[in-house]
Amino acid sequence: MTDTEKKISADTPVLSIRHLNKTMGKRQILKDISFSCYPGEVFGFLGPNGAGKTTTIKVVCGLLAIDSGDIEICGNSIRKHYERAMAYLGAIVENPEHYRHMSGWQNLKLYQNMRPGITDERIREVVSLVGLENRIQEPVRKYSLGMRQRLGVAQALLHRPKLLILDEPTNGLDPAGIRQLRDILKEIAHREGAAVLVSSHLMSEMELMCDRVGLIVNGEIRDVKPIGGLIEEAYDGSTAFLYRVDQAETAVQLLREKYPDIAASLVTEHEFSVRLKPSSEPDSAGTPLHQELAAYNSFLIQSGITLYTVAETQDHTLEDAFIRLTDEGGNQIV
Amino acid sequence: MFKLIRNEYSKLFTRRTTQILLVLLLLAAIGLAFFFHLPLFNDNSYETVDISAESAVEEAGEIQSPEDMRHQNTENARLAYSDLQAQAESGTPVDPSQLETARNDFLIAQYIENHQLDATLTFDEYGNNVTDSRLILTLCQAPMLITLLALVMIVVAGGITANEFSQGTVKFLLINPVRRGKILWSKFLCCLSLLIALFFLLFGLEVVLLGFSYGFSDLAGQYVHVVGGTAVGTPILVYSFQQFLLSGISPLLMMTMAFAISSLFRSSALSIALGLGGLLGGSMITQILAEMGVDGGRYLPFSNTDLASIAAGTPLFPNQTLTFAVVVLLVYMGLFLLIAYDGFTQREV
Repeated sequence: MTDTEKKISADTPVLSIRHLNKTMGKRQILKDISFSCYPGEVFGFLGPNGAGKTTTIKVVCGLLAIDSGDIEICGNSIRKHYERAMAYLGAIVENPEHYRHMSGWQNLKLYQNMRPGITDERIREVVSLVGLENRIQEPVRKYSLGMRQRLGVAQALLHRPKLLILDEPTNGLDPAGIRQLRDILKEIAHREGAAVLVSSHLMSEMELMCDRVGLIVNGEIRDVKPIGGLIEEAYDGSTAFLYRVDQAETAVQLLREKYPDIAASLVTEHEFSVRLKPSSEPDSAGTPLHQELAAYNSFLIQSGITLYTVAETQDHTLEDAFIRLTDEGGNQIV
Repeated sequence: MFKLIRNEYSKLFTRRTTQILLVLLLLAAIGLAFFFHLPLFNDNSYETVDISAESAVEEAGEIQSPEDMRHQNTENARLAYSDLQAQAESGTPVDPSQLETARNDFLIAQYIENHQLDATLTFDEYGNNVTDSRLILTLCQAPMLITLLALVMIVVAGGITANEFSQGTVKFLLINPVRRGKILWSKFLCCLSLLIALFFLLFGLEVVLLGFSYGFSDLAGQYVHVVGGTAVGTPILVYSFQQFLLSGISPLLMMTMAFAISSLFRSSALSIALGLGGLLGGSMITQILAEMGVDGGRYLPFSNTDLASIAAGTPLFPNQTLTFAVVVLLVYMGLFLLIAYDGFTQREV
């Protein structure tokens, strides 16, 4: 596939959700949800408990009815062309549930009968992909949660879906299993050109897995961004530096007197942190951050503070960004 | 569609519950076929054969051939009938139904003698079956198996949808490119085809087992009854299959009801309980309503399942006709299926 072809196909969304509303009882659970997933990407669907992640996924899978709005899978509206749309979809919704009295193989045979074009060869291929070859003939009731999760993934992959939806797929998987799953998902998205929609609470996982992230809070899409963009947004592009000094309290006071705009906060007796935003003005001598830091440092030393170390802190994970963005009024909290 | 039904079958038959129930059903069929071989029945008291004929033989102290016995029976019946006739002519009041019974007895005895029938089934004036063949006697009990079949089918139909919900597998069933309506139909057709298959299997099995148990010759027997003043013989296999078929209506109805409840309330316990309640308690309710003279009772589903007696002109409710009963049954079946369809396709999972 050449680059131009890739671009063309990448422009047509595999999943497009438009102005989706969903009310259950009196509570409006989803408010005007709109976003798209494109071929070749792993899309992370993030949100705190009860934000509407699973509800959105269930609506996409046709398990819940749409109140208003529309969902298209590969251009097929699930309202008008349900069967055609579902043929492109593979999914695990909530927990992976199987017929416990049947073997893993028998379970997969059931899916073979419900979806066109699956050979026994394909079943074997998928089973070995998820690493269940040795246990596939055992009844599912003997499986651990992780094994059931693997069987669920196998089921979702069976018919080579264009859209793969996994609700909390790392639940119950061991670290090796998580890495394996991550590799499988990346392979499917980046090589086979499917779109993968993953929801999870495990932010570190999402960070490793996803290309783009959609953030849902209280039933509304707060943001859809490439994963780096979300982190940047959460901190307005600022970076925190941790100062280790002999007298942190005095140092913070002195800095605040000299630079009234400084975002300095006391951490411990010997530590304080300064949050810096890169200014937009271009500067020839290094980055603006370095200029400011140098100014603070020399000021502190001149004021008689003993400066041990200054270090950039690593709190720029998706997890922190997530908490900042989902917490109500979170942008003010430092 | 065929593949979907096959899926339902493989889900069903891998289940321990289904396996056990089917084994019990087969054991019941075997048990019934060899029931009268139990040492319990070594005496001949079970036979409702005309005792007077036997005692006559004993009194005479000689062994009669079957032909003579049949002739003796005919003569006895003729005598009894002409006695009553003479009584009526001489002015003594005679119960007309008694007279009719006597005449029918005579006609039947004559028919049996004319055709030299070995194994026959007739009914006395109280509706009890009269037969000299253990095989036929047992075959008349075969509808009992249908009640057991109904039990099995109610458990199957009551669980087939509800279990998907309780196991959580319904989500994985519904994310397939198959409309919900089709999935539900495949479930119903699975139940229906299983009911029909087991129905034929049970009847066939019972006939074969009875043949082994008592010898196959009695299977050639006839059911002799009087229609419009002439005696008619029906092959016993045809007659008993008719009875078997007619007793299958109640299971079909209750299975469909359990299926509807299963899909509406997603609870196998509730649908099995209500299905069995309908099967076992339904006739009781209709009996009570009929005795109290509540005419509305004829609109209940249970009141119309006994098509045999309705067709024979002895319905529980005076206004019941065969057409009425069939229409009521069809309406209920349609209603149950509609409830099941609506409950399954409209519900949010």
